[in-house]
Amino acid sequence: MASETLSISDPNLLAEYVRQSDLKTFFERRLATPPDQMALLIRNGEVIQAYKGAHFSIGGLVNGLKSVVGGSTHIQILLADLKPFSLQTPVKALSKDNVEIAGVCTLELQVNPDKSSNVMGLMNPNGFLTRDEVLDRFRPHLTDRVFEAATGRINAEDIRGDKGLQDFIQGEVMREIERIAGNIGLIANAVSVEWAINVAERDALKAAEIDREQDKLDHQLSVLRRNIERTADSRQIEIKANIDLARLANESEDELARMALNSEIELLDAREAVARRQELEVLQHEIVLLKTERVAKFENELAEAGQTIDLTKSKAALRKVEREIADLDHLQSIEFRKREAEIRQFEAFSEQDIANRAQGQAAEHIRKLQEIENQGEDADVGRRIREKDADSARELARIKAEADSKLAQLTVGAKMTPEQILAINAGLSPDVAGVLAEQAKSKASGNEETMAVMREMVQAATDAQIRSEEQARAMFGMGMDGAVGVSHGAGGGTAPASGTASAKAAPQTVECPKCGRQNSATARFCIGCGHKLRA
Amino acid sequence: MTATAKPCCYRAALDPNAGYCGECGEPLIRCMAFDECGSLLDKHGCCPVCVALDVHLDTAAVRGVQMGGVLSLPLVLKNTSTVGRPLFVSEIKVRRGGGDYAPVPLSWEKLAPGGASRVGVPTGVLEEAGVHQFDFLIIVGYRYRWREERFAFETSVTAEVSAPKTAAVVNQTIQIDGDMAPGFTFYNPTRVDASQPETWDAESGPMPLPLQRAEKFERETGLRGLDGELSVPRTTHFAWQGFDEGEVPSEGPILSQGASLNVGRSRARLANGPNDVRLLVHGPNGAVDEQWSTQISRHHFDLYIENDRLVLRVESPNGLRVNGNAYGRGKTVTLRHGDTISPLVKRPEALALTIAIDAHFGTAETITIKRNH
Repeated sequence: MASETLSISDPNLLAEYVRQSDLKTFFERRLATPPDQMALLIRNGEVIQAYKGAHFSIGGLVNGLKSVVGGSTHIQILLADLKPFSLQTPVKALSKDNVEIAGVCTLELQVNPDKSSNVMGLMNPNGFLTRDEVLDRFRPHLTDRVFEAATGRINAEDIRGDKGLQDFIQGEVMREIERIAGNIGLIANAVSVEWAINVAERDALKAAEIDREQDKLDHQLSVLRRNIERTADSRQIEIKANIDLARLANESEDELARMALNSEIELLDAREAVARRQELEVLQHEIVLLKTERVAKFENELAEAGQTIDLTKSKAALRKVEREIADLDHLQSIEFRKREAEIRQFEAFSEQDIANRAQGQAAEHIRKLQEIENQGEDADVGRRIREKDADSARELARIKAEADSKLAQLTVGAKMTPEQILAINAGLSPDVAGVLAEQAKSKASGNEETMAVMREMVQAATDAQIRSEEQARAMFGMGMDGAVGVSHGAGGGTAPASGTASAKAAPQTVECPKCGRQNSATARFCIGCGHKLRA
Repeated sequence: MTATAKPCCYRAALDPNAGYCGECGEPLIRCMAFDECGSLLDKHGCCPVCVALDVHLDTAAVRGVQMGGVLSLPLVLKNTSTVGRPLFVSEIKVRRGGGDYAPVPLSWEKLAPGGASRVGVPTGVLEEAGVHQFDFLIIVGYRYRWREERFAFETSVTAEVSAPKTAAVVNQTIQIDGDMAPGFTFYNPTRVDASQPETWDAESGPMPLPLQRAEKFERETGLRGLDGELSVPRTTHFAWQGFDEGEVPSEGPILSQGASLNVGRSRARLANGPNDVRLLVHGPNGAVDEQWSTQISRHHFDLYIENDRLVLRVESPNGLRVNGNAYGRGKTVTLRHGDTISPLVKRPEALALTIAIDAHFGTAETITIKRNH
């Protein structure tokens, strides 16, 4: 169902009631209020709710039946315009200097949207509210309390354009309206006063107009004065009275008339002479002026010509300098090319020289390296020769020692007992032989038996590979310390070894299996690579 | 693996050719100034003989302070080196209550062996009563030839200031405690006249302040380490790829007496030469290119670890290139992962060494130097 717009019936109304009788219809009506108007729903004299842009559904048979069943209900709708509206009221007051001030005060008012229901307090008994009624309620409060108070502080000629006064009036009016109608739903947005021309201003206008008229007359007077002065300056009248008084007395009337005519002519001539002189002065002034202008013009042209000449000379000099620069550039490029060629040649020589030197240095270096290598090889050969010599010497020494030993054995053998000679011949050492001989002597009674025991012992010692005195003692269980000296002395050998064969000197260093470095035998780790050598 | 400084290692280090301890097998990480100090580095990479810094608080010179006053803490820094090694204090910073460090102006830098220097550290206005903690950062270094190792040490002092209770007489308590002696009171609470400044008990003597290495500060400020992210300790292993046998040392940390690797044309130590790494230019057929090999100096450059950074120093008058940039003799370059060293400036493609750093948790484990040609 389409809605029907429900709005205020007259544009001059600020608010009005829509009565229930206006809403009664047989069919149901849907009503809507525009968003700039407020609809206040009143049921049975109680304000139900205020709407902006409300939408109603009223009337109709169904609602009528509802009223029959549930009882009738009195419905009223108050419509109020929420748009700001403007009111104007005349202002009359006295200024500080007792001049009557008139003007028109414009108030921008609006129904307070937040307290729109309070507008009911302004409604007249007829159920509507016009804007003029609103103004009629405010005007008495503004006349004396605001306008008189405001204008009474300022002189009439200072009122116009006083923005502070306008602000003061606006503030006061807004305060008054807030006081009067703040609780019934009206607010003032802005207040301004347009002032009419007051008496003081009017007098000021007249005075200004008179002054302007006086100035105009003064100006005309000054123009006239200047014209008179100019006319007076341009006239020089010379009256000459060359009249012979005696002749004048005796001449006839005609002669007198002629004389008078002559006199007039002279007078005219004098006036023309003055005029011509002034014209001549003007002409002379113009001549001087033209002369000055022409001289100045000629000098200017002369200067320009001189400048042109200088410029031409400068251009010629510039061209000459440019030609010289071009020549020098050409010469410089030739010189550069020559020097580049020389540099290239020099670089080529330098590179060649450097290459030669580098080759020389390399050859020298190689030669030195070769020398070092040769020296090393020579050293190696010398070392090998010395090693061979040393080996040969050691071999010779060993052979000599063996020979000497044999010789010594033979020499000693001459003093040995037969038992010792037997043992030595069997390959045993003199020490062992001495031990065996002493043993045999102690076990046998006769020489033959001794020799038999000796042979057995020699055989046993040979089979057991007895090499030292201690072994012999251990084998045959002898504690013949005293005999050692004998046998030693008899054998003529060296002193016996202090330890056993297994007690030979241990090696002082060990080689690292990882890096090959020689380490102390006591080292647990290699000092070269940290490798663990032993637990 | 960490360096140790056990007595057996010190005994083993007496052999200049020893790289590992023969008794415990640990590597002998020598100080760069081993010639002078004869010491091994501790587990934090610091030489305990060269860096013999002793810091005291001169309590006899400390003036008492009332709430709202300024307390000046006189520090005495002493070099207790017994081997004649000077120390260089480059910076001292102070902060209060965990704030930002503020530098303390220093008018001296060198601490001669056995010498001591003083510096007064102002604490700022003590506006509030209670315990105030002051942290000191001391950045100290030692030098050997052109090299310098710098470290940051931290120590702290706490001071407790109580507010005056009355206008005429105050019960002022000021205590200074060190980390090693918590609760050690230098000034007992005494009722004193508020108008008279209180002095410290001079008989308490200088208070030793224990020093603690500030590794995090060193790393974050770039004092040590690389870009605040990577630390290359002296124990980092060096591995070699592409070299002939006998031209490079065995894999492991730098164990030479000078704590650096000499690289050049001369023979390597394994071949009884003076160098650690031998560089020769090879031709396309693998033979030694003598012409270009002579352009490599016998001692061309050094590789060493300084301030937890891998550093190259050019020793050759011919110079070399790193990542294409040429460097002359005496220049030092910090090497990073992926850097390429070209010993021949005029022909960099003939021989190139590439650096690869394998790191875990910001600490380099292995530096692999690969010979590309």
